[in-house]
Amino acid sequence: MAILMLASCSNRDTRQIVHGDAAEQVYVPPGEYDEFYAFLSGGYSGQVTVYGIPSGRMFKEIPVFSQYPENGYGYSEETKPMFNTSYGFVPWDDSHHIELSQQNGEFDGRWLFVNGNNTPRIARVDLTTFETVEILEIPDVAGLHCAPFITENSEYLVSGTRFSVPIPQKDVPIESFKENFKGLINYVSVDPEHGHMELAFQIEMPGFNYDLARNGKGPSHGWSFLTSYNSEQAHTLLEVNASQMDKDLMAIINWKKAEECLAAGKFTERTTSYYHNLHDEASGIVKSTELTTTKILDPKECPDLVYFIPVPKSPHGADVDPTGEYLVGNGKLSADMSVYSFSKMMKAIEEKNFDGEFDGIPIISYEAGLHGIVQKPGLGPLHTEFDGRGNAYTTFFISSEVVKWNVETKEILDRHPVYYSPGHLTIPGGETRKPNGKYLLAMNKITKDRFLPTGPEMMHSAQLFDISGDKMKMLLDFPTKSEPHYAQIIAADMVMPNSKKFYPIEENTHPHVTLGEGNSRVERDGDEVHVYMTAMRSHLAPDNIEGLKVGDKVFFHVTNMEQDWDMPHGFAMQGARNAELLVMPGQTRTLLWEPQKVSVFAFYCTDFCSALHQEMSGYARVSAQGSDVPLKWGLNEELRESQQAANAFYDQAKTNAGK
Amino acid sequence: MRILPSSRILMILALLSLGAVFFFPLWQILLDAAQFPGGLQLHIWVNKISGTDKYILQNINILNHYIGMKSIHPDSIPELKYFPFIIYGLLALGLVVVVIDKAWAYLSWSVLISLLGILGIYDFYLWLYDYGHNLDPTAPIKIEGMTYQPPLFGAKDLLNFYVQSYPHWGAAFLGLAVIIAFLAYLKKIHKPKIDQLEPADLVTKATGQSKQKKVNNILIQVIAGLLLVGCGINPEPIVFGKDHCVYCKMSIADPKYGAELVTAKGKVFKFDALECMVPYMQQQDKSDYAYVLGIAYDDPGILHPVGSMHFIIAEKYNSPMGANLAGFKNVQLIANNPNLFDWESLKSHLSSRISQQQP
Repeated sequence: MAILMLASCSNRDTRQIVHGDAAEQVYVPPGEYDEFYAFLSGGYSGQVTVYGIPSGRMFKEIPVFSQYPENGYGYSEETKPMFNTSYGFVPWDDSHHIELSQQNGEFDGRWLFVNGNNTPRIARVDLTTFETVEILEIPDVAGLHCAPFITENSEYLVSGTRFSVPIPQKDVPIESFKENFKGLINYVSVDPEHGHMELAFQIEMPGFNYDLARNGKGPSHGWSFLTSYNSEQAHTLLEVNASQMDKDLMAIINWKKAEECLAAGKFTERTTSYYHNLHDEASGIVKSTELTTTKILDPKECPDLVYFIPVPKSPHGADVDPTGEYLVGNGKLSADMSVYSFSKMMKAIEEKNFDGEFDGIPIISYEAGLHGIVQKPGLGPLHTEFDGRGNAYTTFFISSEVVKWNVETKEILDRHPVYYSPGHLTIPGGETRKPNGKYLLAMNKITKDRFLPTGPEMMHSAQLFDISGDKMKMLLDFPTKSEPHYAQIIAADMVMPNSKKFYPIEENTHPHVTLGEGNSRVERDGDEVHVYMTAMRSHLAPDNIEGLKVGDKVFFHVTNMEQDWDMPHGFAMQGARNAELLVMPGQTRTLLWEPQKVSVFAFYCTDFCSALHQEMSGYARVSAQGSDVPLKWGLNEELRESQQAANAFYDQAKTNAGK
Repeated sequence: MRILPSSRILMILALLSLGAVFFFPLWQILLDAAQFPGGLQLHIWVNKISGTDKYILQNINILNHYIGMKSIHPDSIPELKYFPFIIYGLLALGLVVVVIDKAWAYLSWSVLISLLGILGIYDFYLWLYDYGHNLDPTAPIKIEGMTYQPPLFGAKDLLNFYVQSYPHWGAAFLGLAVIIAFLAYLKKIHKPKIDQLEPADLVTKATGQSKQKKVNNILIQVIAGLLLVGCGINPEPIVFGKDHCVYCKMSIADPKYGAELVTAKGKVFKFDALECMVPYMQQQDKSDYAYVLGIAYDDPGILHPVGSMHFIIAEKYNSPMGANLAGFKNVQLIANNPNLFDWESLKSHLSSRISQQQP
């Protein structure tokens, strides 16, 4: 009997909790648009996905940290350098937290930043093209989980190391952790005009595991708050050994002070190695640069730069409310949630109301900085966002629910089960000064039976709530790609009007662009062959190439001559140990092909571009090494071999491209 | 009329209006297809071709090459080079006219510009014809008997595109220049008489007016007619088997019978027979129709103004609604018949029949 009752209490059946007009609220009729864009991190896919809210429809996967054969990102010669790191070419990463650029504490819809957790990197996506345009490696850290949290005018992206490591790296016993391991907190500046990232400075901190962060806003602007765990400084079986103390420490950083110390020259310059990879939109080429110095600030040399305050066991989120006054520390293993008051913490600092220190960094008295405690809200609080009406919403991983509570009174107002075990949640503008408290999206870590089964591996599950009323209302389940850790949601009209339709071909400055079909040609330089090819409905020019030889390095520089919306052309070569190219209108992309055997190879356009798409194809004849077949090419003509004409055109093309 | 300024000022206004052709396209062609949200717009100017964006010609040329149409290259269209000079010439001549300030000068100028305008439209039609008919025999897509000439005026389905072609502001300003110059002429020759006319005379139809006003009113009607054309008030051909009679709701099937009304606002009403149109007109109790048209039995499918037609009632004509009524454009064919009517007498004949039936 008891078992039967338990079974009937299983809350799998959400039909009981979805009410009324939920279907109507998420239905976007054909031809109409969603109200919001949601940008979800792709977790272990290394990418970012774009969804519409409230419909939950996926619009795009933006390749960021992982090679993407679907469009040649990381395979084409232009985009390969995006993956350069001090470890060499790293073709994959684990993307975690999305941060949209801000002005005056509100989203401005210009850029998206996301961190690579595994090989520490921060990427920038341009929201006019929805393409990754920049990746900056962060040196001397390991596991860049605590990133890339943005300040309210996009001054900095703040990040902290997840794993403390020896700095500089050296061959030491792991058990010498306390003696040799340090954690860096990194400040990357963002150029206000171009968005270009630069590592401004790093702060050398005790060897903890930094987890999540937020920056202050309004009154607390100029400060950063980073949670950490493992103040025990364990280096093995962390799940037990890093969970022994009742409280861990939250780092509170005055970055305006850091700027003062930098200006006063109170920093050390360390030689290291890290890469900065920047995409140039006009040429479409990524330029990779190795950087070798970084500025290190030591809290001991720069007093008032860093403070700690205790937080309940193993905190995850450190979330600042829209007023900038309250700060929520979510202790994953704690029964209660601590809410801090920024003004009280400032007062405690002023009155030196400290409770000891760690490595010379003062620890603010817990009680002195506390606004209050939310009593028994649930189990395993992870992350909190706000609706702009004085309410906070926190995910509870263990009790699998979202809880709504009042920040001022700490009173619990509503709770709603979530299927299953949410990690982060997001509200449009939920981390900004002006949230739009209409929807809430919970990103769940466990999927199980939410969708038709697809074997052992399945997509994750997200759930959308209407939070405009007093009670949260569940609207929709939808599957999400890989494991979104965090997402941000922005009003569509902030992004949609700026979305580019294609690249103007007259602005193409690619050194191997082919401006005009009559100028397509093939050039040989030793065993390197350059094919200057154009793509246009519905033919590639040239489409017959002869005189290639086994062992050649053949570069297909394909220029898409179209100037119309949604008219990409693909290029695929049989047997190429590479991906395809997907070339946007006005763009030039290069595929390297190293033919391995004597054969006539077929190539074709992969993107169904017109009714005669199937006819958009060609042949490349590969002869034996040392054969005397001359280099020839053409399109519906006797094959040409005038190198001189080709060169003359090339000069002209360069002049035109420069205009 | 008496509020009109002097001929000279009118002529300067006409020149300003003509100058506007450099700031607005003359004609626009809109191509609509499912894959092109918002459609593709082509604007034809006196000196260039533009459109939705600066890539419009490339995109239209890409589409056209599938069906073998020639690429449109503005550089290879000489008219775009010399038309501006014709406009400059007309502007210069116009200034001379202002200086001379003679009736014949105003008239000559407006006749000249009208003629040139008509020639220009004819030239445009020839280009459209050439693009639409002069097809590359090796085109990837060939459809037996299909040509792709866009309409000069109106709409047409061309494969997956719905093509609409209409004058744009430039043409309207050009038309306005003709009208204003013509008004300048009228002002010059009929100054005292025209001043006596009330503005309302421009609108009301000339029925039973005094003799001395007759000449003026004919001229005014010509202007009003030009205005009407400019506003796109035109009869529409009847599509047999598809259109329905507004009066009896039956489909219009027999091309030997039919009629059409176009109101002063440009609304078109179609009828399967004359005997449907007459009672309809009676019900509406309106007289300001732009066109009252009938199908001629001896010219099937073609609409003629009823005033120019003759009508016959005889058993051999099985008109759709049983009135045995047919219209003829050539009166010789029915000359010796006793039941022969002109439009006015037909109307009274039919309405007396209707009133007999109604009680």
